Amino acid sequence: MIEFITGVLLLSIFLALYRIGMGPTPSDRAVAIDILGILVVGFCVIISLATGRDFYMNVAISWSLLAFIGTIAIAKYLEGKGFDE
Amino acid sequence: MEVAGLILIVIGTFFDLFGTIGLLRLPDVYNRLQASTKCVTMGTCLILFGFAVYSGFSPAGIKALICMFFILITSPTAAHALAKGSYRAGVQLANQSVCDLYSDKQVLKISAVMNRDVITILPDASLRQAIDLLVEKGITGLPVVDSEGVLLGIITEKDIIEYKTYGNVETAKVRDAMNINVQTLPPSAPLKELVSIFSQEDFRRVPIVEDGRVVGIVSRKDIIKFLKEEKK
Repeated sequence: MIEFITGVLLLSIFLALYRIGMGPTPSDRAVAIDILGILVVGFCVIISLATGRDFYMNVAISWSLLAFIGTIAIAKYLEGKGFDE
Repeated sequence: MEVAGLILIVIGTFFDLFGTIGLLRLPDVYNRLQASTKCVTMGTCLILFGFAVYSGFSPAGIKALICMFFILITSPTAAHALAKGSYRAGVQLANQSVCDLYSDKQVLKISAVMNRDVITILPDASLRQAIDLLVEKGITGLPVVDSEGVLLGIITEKDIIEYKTYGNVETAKVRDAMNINVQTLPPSAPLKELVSIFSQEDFRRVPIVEDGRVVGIVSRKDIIKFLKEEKK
């Protein structure tokens, strides 16, 4: 069961990675990175479930907050970029 | 409880998968954003909730609930910021997009361009009359309407020429030669839609129909004339 869930999540992560690689615009990559962050949080939960070790949940919490801050930073950067030109 | 938790986790992983498929397949950044953010947030929240159900009132379960709360708040905010940032950075909408409400430019409607004095013809008129009308008015096609003004078809130069190859133009009625495969649009549709019809299909004029009645017509020439006036 865990193997199956891990497989599906890994497939989703590869799809997100494909979008990060292919772009075409920086915004597409930023969106995909945001999504990847949320997927990784889910993945941490599955690892925690599979290994029975709690500290992966701490990783999940901090990852979700850091991904948020990172995405906001990228979004603000993109927003400012339009005005420079 | 464990089974219920696992079921929630499996449903969550599938939400994640479908969200990323949306990320992969949709045409522009805004579509990708709306498809993937909602699905993946939902999916990961389900995974976290499933884990909380699975492990009950343990420290890990509480952490999962806290994490779920964080994601529910942060993910839509981040998505909104990204959409705004992309728009400001000038990322274009996909070609299929119908309207852009954020844009400063007013969306042009077909009603601004269309020719309201439509010259129409009845289906029982003779083909000879149609030919005379085409030549007299210097136009290339006539919408065929019944006495109520309801569109039945269209007769164009091309239809008449085609009819001449297999029928007798002198005795024929408009009904026999008209083309019933007509592309129509409502007057409220954006001009962009009309332009895409003209550029992609072999129609030279599009009758504008409201509630079944012909209220106008736009030919390719009308668009060119409009472009000329717009320049002034």
